[in-house]
Amino acid sequence: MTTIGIPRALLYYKYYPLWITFFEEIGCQVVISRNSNKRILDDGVRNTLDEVCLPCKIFTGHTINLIEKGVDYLFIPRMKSVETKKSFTCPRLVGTSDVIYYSLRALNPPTILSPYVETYTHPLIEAYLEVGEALGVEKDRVEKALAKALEVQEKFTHFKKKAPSPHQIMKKLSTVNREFAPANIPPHIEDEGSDGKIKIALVGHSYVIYDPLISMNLIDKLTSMGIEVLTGEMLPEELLMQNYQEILKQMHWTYEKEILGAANYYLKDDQIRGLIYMSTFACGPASLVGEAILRQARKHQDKSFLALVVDEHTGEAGVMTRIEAFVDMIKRKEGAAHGN
Amino acid sequence: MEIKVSFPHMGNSYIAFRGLVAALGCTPVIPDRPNSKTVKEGSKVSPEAICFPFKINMGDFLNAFEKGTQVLVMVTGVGPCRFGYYGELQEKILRSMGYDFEIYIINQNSIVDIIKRLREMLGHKGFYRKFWRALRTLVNKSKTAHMIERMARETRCYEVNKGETTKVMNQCLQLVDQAKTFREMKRARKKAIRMFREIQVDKTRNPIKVAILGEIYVVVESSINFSIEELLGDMGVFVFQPSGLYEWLKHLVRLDFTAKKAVTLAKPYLKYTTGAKDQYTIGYTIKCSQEGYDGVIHLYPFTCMPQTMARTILDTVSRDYNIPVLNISLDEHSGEAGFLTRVEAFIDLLERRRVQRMQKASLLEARAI
Repeated sequence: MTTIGIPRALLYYKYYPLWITFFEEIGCQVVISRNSNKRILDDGVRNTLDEVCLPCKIFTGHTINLIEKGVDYLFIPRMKSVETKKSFTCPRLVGTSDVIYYSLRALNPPTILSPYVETYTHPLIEAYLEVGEALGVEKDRVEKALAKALEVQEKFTHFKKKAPSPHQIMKKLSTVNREFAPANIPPHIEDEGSDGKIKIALVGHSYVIYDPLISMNLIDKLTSMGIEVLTGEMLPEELLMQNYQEILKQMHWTYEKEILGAANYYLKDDQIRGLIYMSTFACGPASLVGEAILRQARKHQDKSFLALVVDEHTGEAGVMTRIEAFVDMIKRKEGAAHGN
Repeated sequence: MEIKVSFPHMGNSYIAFRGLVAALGCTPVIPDRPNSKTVKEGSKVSPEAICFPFKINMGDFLNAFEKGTQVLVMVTGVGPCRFGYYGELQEKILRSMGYDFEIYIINQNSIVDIIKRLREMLGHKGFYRKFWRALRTLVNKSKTAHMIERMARETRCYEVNKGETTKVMNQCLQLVDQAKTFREMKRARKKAIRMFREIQVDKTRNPIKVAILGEIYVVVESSINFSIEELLGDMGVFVFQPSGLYEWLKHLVRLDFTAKKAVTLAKPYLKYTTGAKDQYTIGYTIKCSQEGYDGVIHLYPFTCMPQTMARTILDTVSRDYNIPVLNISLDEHSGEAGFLTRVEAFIDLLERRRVQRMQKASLLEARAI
């Protein structure tokens, strides 16, 4: 059976149900690289340019892991745009497959399947037909597989919205569980949050906040401090798209729209006490978006704001200290508000 | 009422923009050439991790406010690169600092809107005639400035009296800047050609040929890249540099044929553009290698997204096409001495490489005999 390797990095955290289902439906075996660890980071850093962002470096590490596992194909799509109107993803996502090929040429990488996804000019099916053609799968089967895959992806999106905590999302991401039947969705425990737990919103790229190595298990750490964490992925798409324009009017980056929308929504939400924006050093969009969120957060004096920028040199102790100080500050504010 | 209009620097593009603004009947206010003060003040108010041109633009704007401007013009892109968001964020920052101004953010999407706004501001009577004249001035002046810069690059390495070319170039650019009517512009162009012909040259030299490629702003803005063109020219190096305002205008109307050819060459390496001319960098590197250039200097602002993509691939292109590439990223912390050392070492390397090649060739020839 043909094996397809998918690196567990970057857009994997957004589209893995789609990708995995698609390849399994057309009769391939999917191999996912292992969870990020020190070795993957080291491999990535050694084989990538020093000036790119940490997720890209980790991505290279994951690809090396897959090459070592000996897969037949690597799946690295060129995601130029994922919306129906003119918009873009990050430039680095468009170039990744070329960059991976040329920076790992010495390792003899297998054939890279890199369909071009630009949904505002070409329908999505074209990209997957390209993949089908490369693998020698007939058109009907590809179409059927894609339909099924989109359905599963839809279920995953639905699951994320209903998830009581980002933990559930993380668990799904790390165990590659492909069952997203509505029965599997845990009951939405909305009321439990109001039992005195402090609510903090965490926004950032999904491949930053859900990757245990990049985020240093930030979600776990916050939860163990008795904090309820909410992420941008737990909000409906329409809400995000309504909200981003209040911060920056003209935004062409889809994933940044989501981040801005989530940040703005949570800043307006009275139940949220603080907002954490997590990004990586040398992330291009973050340098703009971070500044815009900071400016917006200043308008909401009742909310605390923490911007965390990490890279491969960031020490865990330093991050921990900052988070603890942030939580203490919120708790003190809370105490002052209640008059004790 | 006098309307003072200002715009950020980009190399010698201020000449063309000054002409444009003046032709529209406004008073152009040119900020000082980017200097250490511009960089310092611009960096102070900009986001920490943003690319370098943004910070210099901010410095330029602050300087323009000191000179009493009311209207700012910012040209931005619409692609996936950060350049597309410059105007909006700059406006946000400047407004939060308490400045009162009007800003025109020009890109391919907003052009109709801009014309309407301009018409409101300048009055409807005879607007389109004025506008057409302004556009013609822009194209004409940028074309002449482009020509002068190219002649300077190609003459400097042959000049007998050191520094003469730079002097002539500055005189010519001044002539173009001062020209008001189209007849004067034509005269300035002819005079420039004559002046360059009069420079004493020694054509027997066989200079090292180097291409300067990369992100347009840092390549064009000589105060940021430590006047690399002059530096190389004075070292006796023939310089090729394809980008500039005129090329960019040609790109807007899709008439940039050489650049298109370069993109075709780059396709096998980088199939789809990620913005900011990354394919040009790769394409021109291949083209220069085929045309017998000795090396390429690749300049880009620190963490520039498209150019870092290009840079990773350039390593392979350099090996495949056997052409040395020097990558330099620039930001507000770049030091001149370090930059100079690297460039000088690179040129030394190219010279040695050429000598070795020639020795090898003569050896082979001797053996053949």
